Amino acid sequence: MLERLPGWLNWARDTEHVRRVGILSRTPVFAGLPRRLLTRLAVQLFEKAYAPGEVVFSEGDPGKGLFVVLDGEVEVVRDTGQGPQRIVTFGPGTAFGELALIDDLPRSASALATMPTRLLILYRTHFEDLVAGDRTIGLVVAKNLLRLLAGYVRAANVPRAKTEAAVASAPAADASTPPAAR
Amino acid sequence: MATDPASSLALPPAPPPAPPPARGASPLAWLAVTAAVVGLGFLLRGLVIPIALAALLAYFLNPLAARIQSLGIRRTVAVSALFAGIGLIVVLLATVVAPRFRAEGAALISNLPSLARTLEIGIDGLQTELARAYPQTQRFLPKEARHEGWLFEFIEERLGDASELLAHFGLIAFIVALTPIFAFFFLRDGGAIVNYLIDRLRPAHIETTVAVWCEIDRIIGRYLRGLALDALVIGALTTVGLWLVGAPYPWLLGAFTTLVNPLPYLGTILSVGVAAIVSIANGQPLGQIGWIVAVYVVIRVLDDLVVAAVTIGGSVHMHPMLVLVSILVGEQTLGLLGMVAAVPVVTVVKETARLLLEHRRNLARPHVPTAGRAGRIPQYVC
Repeated sequence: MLERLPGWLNWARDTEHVRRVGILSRTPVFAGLPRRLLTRLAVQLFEKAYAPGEVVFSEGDPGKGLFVVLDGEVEVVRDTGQGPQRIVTFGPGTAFGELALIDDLPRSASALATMPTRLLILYRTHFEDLVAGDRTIGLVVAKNLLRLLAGYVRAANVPRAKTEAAVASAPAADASTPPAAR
Repeated sequence: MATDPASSLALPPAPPPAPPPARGASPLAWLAVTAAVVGLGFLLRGLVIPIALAALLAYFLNPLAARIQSLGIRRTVAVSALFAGIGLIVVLLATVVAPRFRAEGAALISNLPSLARTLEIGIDGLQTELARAYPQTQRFLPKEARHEGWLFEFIEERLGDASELLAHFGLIAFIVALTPIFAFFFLRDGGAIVNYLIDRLRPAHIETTVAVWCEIDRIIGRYLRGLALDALVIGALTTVGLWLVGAPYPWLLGAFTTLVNPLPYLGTILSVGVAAIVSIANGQPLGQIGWIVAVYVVIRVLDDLVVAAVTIGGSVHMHPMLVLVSILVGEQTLGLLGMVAAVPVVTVVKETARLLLEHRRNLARPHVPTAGRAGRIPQYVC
């Protein structure tokens, strides 16, 4: 890569590209990818600026790409029926919407910028092209996605297990109540 | 950094998002820009051909430029390096290949009267035989005996005279000189222009809009680049094959095969037909023509089974009737060039329409909100 080249070649170096590669390397989804693959990934990204309050995507939209926060902050909210509930907030160097790299299903939550924000967008089509060109990308990213999904499942099971434990210790009549009605 | 998803349930409901400020350009501004572009296009209509060719060239070269850029090199430097490389290849080709084309072209032009005469004798003899064996065909054949040299005169008439060619030479030189210059700037600034346009799009629909464009670009780009690569490989194989069997004008016939290869069905028929006619006119024995046909058959099979599968892939299909109709319409509109361009153009239109319709269908699918599923609220996942 060019960052290893002597200083007199600085004029040819794309500093923004090098910065993007650095951000990608710290993103959990792309952790462990060799630098040469990260550099190929980085040129495929689109950049977009969002003003505070602008919607990145809405719940129910078809998921098409992964977003990486360059600057600013993005909040993920879900409509629970009693108004939108904040799920998680993302700052610089983090990625969200990674499930769109796997399936075509609609977004399960909405994302909106809470301050002036710049995002990098990686579309599934570009990601699939990269995977077709080098299987290592697919293997490493799939492993990282599985790790993330496992984390989500564990996190989701903790309150459920607590609830089940509470139900088990409650009178028998309560335990027969279906979970949705509790 | 991202907050812990496990703690998200404890968060109070977030206030509804404030309406975003209007940042995208108004429809009036878009209309003004479109009108300006159309007006500029009308004023610069003489530049339409080099601009269109440059845009196509930039589109073909974009993956290579992106690959060089991915080394961490600035876009301008990457594109300059690419153009320097292409310039070197062009110079090499001009040194190695151009003399062969020139020699074959000169030989063909000087031999044209005698080649035409040989063909003339053959055609006249065939007609006489046909009229003797099947008298009823006489009404389809010319009534009067044709004078000697009629075929050469016909060819000259079709090709146009030298002064007309010289008049076109200026235009061709203009196009050849301008196309790489435009292509350089398209290639260098194309990405920045696309990013600028994306930044102007309304944020709420940016994801799906650009995703549809990416999908169209992927399929069309793969098809067009594959088609060009396939034609080049098949042209090169034909040149080698014809040279091996000792056919006349292998370089010119290889170049002709490259040009007509994108024509489904007709491309092979035209290539074999022209090669066989040239071979007959050169007085080659029938066995030699058999070898030439065999070369084309083997290359056709190789193309279908290996080359096209690798370069184009199987993602784009067209009904044979649509292929034939588009070729006929292309021929009526722009002649041979129209025939060659017809199938790619119709494929691009058809695939774009298919992807847009598919996108509309996906959007129309009903969405089931996740929060309502039996009280199981999954943590953050999008």
